[in-house]
Amino acid sequence: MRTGLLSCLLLVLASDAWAHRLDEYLQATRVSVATNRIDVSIDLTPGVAVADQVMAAIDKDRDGRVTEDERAAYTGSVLRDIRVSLDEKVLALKVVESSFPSLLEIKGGLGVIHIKATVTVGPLAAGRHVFSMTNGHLPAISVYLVNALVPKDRSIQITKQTRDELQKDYRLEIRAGSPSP
Amino acid sequence: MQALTFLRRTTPVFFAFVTLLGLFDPARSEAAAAGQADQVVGAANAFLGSLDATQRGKVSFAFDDAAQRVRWSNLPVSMAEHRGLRMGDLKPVQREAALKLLATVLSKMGYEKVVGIVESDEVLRKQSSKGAPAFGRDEYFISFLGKPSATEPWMIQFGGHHLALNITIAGERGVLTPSLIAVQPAKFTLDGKTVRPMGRETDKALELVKALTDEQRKQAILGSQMRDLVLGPGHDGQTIQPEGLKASALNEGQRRLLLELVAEWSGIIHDTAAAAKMNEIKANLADTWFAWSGPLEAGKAYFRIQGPTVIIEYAPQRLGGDVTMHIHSMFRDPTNDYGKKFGGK
Repeated sequence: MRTGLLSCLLLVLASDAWAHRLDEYLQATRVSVATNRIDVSIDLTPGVAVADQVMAAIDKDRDGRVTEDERAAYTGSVLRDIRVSLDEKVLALKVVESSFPSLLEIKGGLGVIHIKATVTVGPLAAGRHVFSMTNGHLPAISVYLVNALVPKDRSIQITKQTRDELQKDYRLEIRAGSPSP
Repeated sequence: MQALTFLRRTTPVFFAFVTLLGLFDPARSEAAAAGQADQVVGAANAFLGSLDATQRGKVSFAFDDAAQRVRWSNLPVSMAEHRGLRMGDLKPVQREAALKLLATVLSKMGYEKVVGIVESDEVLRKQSSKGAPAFGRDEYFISFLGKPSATEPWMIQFGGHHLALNITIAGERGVLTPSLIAVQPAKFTLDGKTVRPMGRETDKALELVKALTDEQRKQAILGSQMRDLVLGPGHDGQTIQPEGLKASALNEGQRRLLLELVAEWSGIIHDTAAAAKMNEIKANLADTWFAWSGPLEAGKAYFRIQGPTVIIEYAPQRLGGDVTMHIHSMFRDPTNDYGKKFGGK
């Protein structure tokens, strides 16, 4: 029933500007730094007008269904497109978890793909560190947001965030040390 | 006044119109002998008393119902599940009682803002094509988490497209966080009068950023595009690293402008709770940050105010063409969302 209603709705979305997002693929990333790892959580929201391009990247065999293998492959491709480094040493993001909406929701600009990944870094030596990230996933259709979360570990301090205008390139300056009293 | 009272009783929609236009002030027309807590509880119980048993079952949730607590969105209701009672399904007397409750738990300014947002959605309904997502003043939902009480914490939720009020009440105390305050169209005409439900925050923000010195503005302006809210729906419990210009660097006049801007969100709830919230924000003002991204033009830029007990984001949306006509904003308190300081979970 819900699928039927959504299908009807999507027919309207194609012509009306009421969908959540239209002609851009929003990739919103949150970076969480701890003493021994850096977590990266990405919310990917394709707009209606770019949904076909995103679906083509996910549903490789174009059969209208997304298998576990296709989800895993897409998650891997996203993470391969995101280059991260700590103190200029390139690191590989490892998948922690991911979730995918239905293709119908993606088509309607309502679906959000969640990917959580991590890099093991630790323990961070006391002093200044620089975490860098460049997101090169589907750049022709994407817009980006990237922010650091306030570290839960009080021995970690965020000292500066720098981004390019599009937020594709991100630089996070960190100071590691003893917890504040 | 008699005519207005008659229309108020017979036509809840007109009641909303006249309130929006500032002609009638429902909650404040009654004696304020009771304390704010008693007034809110009284209005809540009056609304509940107007419902039948089935409706009461639909509107009531356990205070610790975690799923209902986060069941809110910026999306039209046909795209996001809402539970509770739909305004369009209420009888006129029930709808009037629901609006009376909102008018009691919110400030005059807050109630007008909320009615304005609802009326803007009615404009969308009239503009949308047949079969489009459900818009309009009927498509808002009200629910309760917990039982209205003058002492124990409980919640009122009211929302739909572009609006999610999560109001936790604990006696005289109350918090409105997290709440989504948004609007499209941001400017419309109602009975010949121009209505801008989020006009003051738009104008005050521009006034503040223009009042900064060049050096201050350089610090406040983020060097990147901000295409959406960072802490919108689904991001409860997250606190991002503050950025921009610290309020400790502001002079007295600039601080006043910042607080007047904050009041557009903190002052939505009833005056007693709003005053307490503002005192808290003032106490933490030195550790509060202001960030701006976009042109120095009204309604075209993203801005964020972030302090130890407040996060406000304002994000113009490209959807619809004119970014000044489609605004999303969030009001959060990282220390007290859903009233967790009051014993809320």
